Amino acid sequence: MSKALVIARREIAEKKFVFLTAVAAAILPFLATLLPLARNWSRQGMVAMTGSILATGLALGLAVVGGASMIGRELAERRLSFYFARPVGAASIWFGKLAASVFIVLAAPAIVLVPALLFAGDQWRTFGGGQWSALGALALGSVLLLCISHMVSTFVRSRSMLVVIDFVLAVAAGFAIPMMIRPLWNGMAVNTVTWIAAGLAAAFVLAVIIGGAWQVADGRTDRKRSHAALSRAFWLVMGIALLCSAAYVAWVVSPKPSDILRQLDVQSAKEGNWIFLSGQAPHRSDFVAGFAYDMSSGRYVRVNGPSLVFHSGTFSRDGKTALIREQLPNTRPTQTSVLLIPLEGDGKPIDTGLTADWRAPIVLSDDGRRIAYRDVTGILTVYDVPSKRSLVSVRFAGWPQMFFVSPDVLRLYSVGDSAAHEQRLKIEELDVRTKAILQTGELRTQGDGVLFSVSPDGSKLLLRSFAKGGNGTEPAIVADARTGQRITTVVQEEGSRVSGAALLADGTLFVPVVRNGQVTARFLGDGGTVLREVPLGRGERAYVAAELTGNRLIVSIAPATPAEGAPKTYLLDAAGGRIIRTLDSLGLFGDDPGSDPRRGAPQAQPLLAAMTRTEVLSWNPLTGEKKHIAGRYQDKESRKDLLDRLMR
Amino acid sequence: MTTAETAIRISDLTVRYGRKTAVENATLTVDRGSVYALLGRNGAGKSSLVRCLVGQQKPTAGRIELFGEDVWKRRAALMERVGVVSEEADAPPEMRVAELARFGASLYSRWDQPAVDDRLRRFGIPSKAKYGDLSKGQKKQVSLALALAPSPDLVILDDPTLGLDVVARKALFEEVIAELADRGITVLLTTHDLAGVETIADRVAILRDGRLVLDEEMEALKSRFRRVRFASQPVAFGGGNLQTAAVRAWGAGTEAVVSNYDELAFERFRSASNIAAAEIAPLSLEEIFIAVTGEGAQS
Repeated sequence: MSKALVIARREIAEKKFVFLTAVAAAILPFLATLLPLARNWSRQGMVAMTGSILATGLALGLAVVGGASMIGRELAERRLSFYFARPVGAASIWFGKLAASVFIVLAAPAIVLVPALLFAGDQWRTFGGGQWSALGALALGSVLLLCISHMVSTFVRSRSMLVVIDFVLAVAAGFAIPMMIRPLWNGMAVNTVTWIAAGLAAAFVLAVIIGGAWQVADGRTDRKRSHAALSRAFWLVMGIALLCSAAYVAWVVSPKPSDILRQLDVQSAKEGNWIFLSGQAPHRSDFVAGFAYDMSSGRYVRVNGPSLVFHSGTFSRDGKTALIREQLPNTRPTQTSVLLIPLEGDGKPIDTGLTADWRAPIVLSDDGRRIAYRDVTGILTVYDVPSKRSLVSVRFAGWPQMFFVSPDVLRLYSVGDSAAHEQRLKIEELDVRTKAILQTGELRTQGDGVLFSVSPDGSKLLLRSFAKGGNGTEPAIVADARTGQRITTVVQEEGSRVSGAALLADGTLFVPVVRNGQVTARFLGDGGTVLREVPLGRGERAYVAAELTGNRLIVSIAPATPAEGAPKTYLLDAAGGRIIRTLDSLGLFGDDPGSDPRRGAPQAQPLLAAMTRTEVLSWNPLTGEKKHIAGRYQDKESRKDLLDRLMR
Repeated sequence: MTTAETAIRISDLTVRYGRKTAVENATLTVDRGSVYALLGRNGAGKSSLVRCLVGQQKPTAGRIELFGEDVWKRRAALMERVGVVSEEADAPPEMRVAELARFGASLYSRWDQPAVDDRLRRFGIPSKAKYGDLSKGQKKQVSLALALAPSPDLVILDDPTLGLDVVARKALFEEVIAELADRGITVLLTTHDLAGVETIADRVAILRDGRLVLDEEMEALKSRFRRVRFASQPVAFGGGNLQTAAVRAWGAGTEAVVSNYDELAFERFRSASNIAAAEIAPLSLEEIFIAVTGEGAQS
């Protein structure tokens, strides 16, 4: 070690002119304040800026020159024998020279920067991040550049054909690293990407340090052998680092649904047993995994996780095809490629060739052959998947919910304010053959907002209006889905509240009425005739969790406060107007909200995605059978925080 | 010869650069306390052999031992006992001579600074001078002064006279190397100054195209080489006991360099060939070298 220090001291002494240059450069920022140009600046700001620029330039310049001359120049000029003819080990030669080069690269810029920063005080600001991180980045960048320069210098000066192999390996690594990073990037694993990049940078520096030591030990004064030794050790270390990184990435991106514990989100297909499941697995950093999961068989297909977090994935009408939007590399962060995944088939994604903003409303025709989307610039497009071409593109002002009435007709619903406290649902149809949009109807109601859904056969729609603090004056309206012609209107009654109305498959309107904290299920026929009423119990609101064949409903009632007890879930006979039985109280995930407003058709044997405090499971409400899907625990990071972070 | 008596042992040394062979199957030993001259024309492989000898280059094949230890594996330790003057001026040009001496002193366990100062004074080199500003010969002299400072047991001089003037060359051979020899220090040198080396070398080796074509004691070498001139008639040497290193026409007769001269054998050859008179003269090392390595040399 002492001989390494002797060599380092000698190397530094040989380059003492660098420090004299740095001292001279340290004065320049103060002289710069005397320039006429500097009048518009504060003296401190001017000194800080000039000092930073000079120090950065000096650091990078010294890194390039220092790296190139550390070993390569002396090898080429046959001067390395000066050390080898003396009783000094190869390690002392290498580490002495390396230490001297690193010291010069760091110390000389510090001579320029420190007086400027001391003078500038609080005035010193970097363009982003803190001062220390900027200094750290400059120091690390300089050391990296020093290493790169040393390698290039050795390779070029050796005049060996090995440089071709180095070039090929460098190109291969240049391709491999982005390919390795891409799945992480697609999974929004920003922290993991940062750590892997930092790890590879550290591995690069380590590879150069080990490679340099081996280069001097085995290559000594022989240029070609020196190159070969550096090359061999460098690529061995980098190869191991890349393999380890690749193995880590492969592990991070391959959790099973049962591994998911954090930031869980579930969306159910409107029909069938497939769900979207997204979230993070413990110890796999911030990678957001996504799955299309069949609750009946436990089979799953991996899909893009962040796409699910943003609810930009959707299922086809029958729940057998998933539409996923996956971020494209080298494009704006919001630009995505649209993939279709045949869930009942091999599960291999089919690239539709379509790119769309992840925020754009998008729907799939029932036959899975056509896609409609309205992009952020206001263009509505119908795209044909088999031929991979747009059939029609028209301007459309609103943000629609829509569905294909037939492969050639797209029905569009858009909500807007027509006047103060008046909401208007505009109904239009786009005919692909004529490329024209025709307004087919509209529906107006009082309120500050509306929600609507369409019956599974697309014939009727249910519009629910809300005013600030509660129901609108017409809390539920059943209308013709094409014309908006009213069929049934539920009027707000004094002393009661309507919560969670649902249009059932047979056209009956389910209206939960809350009066004095007591929920009553009311079933209305056409025109608003009350067909049946079923008292359910105390609660704040009620909703239909699932509709089963044979006029049976799964209805959940949520209490106003947790102090009033747990939610209650009932199996109701809608035709007979009675409670068949009370079910386990489980939290149920909602259906895929998507951009298709149609509800799912009644199921004979429904499987519902449900949650307890500790797990997510599939639940058959008729048999009570439960199957574990994923774990679940609350951690400090809320789902909103995750969304905020991903949005950033 | 035992390891204790051997300073250098080179066994089957081969050095190749791609397809080119610089040294091929060279085997030699250098006794302790001897002065060994390694000669050869430019490109014969001397510098490659010396670089391997000081552990700076790994041979393609073969083994080199200094004082019984493998030089490739034990280079750093062995360099405590070896002073090296490289063919190239390899010291950092920005360093002053005094700085070079201080640097050397901090690396060796033994360092005779007064001897360095004395030699530099004799060479007329100021210690404040920058190494890069010195002439080629002065650089060699500084390297020599530094190489001798740790009182080495072996000194390896790779073309030490390169750039030296006539006076300095004479001083190098007659004062420095002779003094080392007197002190029992082993010296291996490569040089083109054959007149200088002739008086001090105990043993000589000649490399030709990477192959060691000669390796023997200086006295034995000189005693077996003779120039023979037959003025009156051409003479054919084939078939006799005399071996020739070179043969050429000389006036009406023949001139030959005989590499195994022996009076009795020559007399037999002369009477058998019916030759009346012959002129026989000893050869200088330079003449022997030319005969062995020159254009007309016979393998």
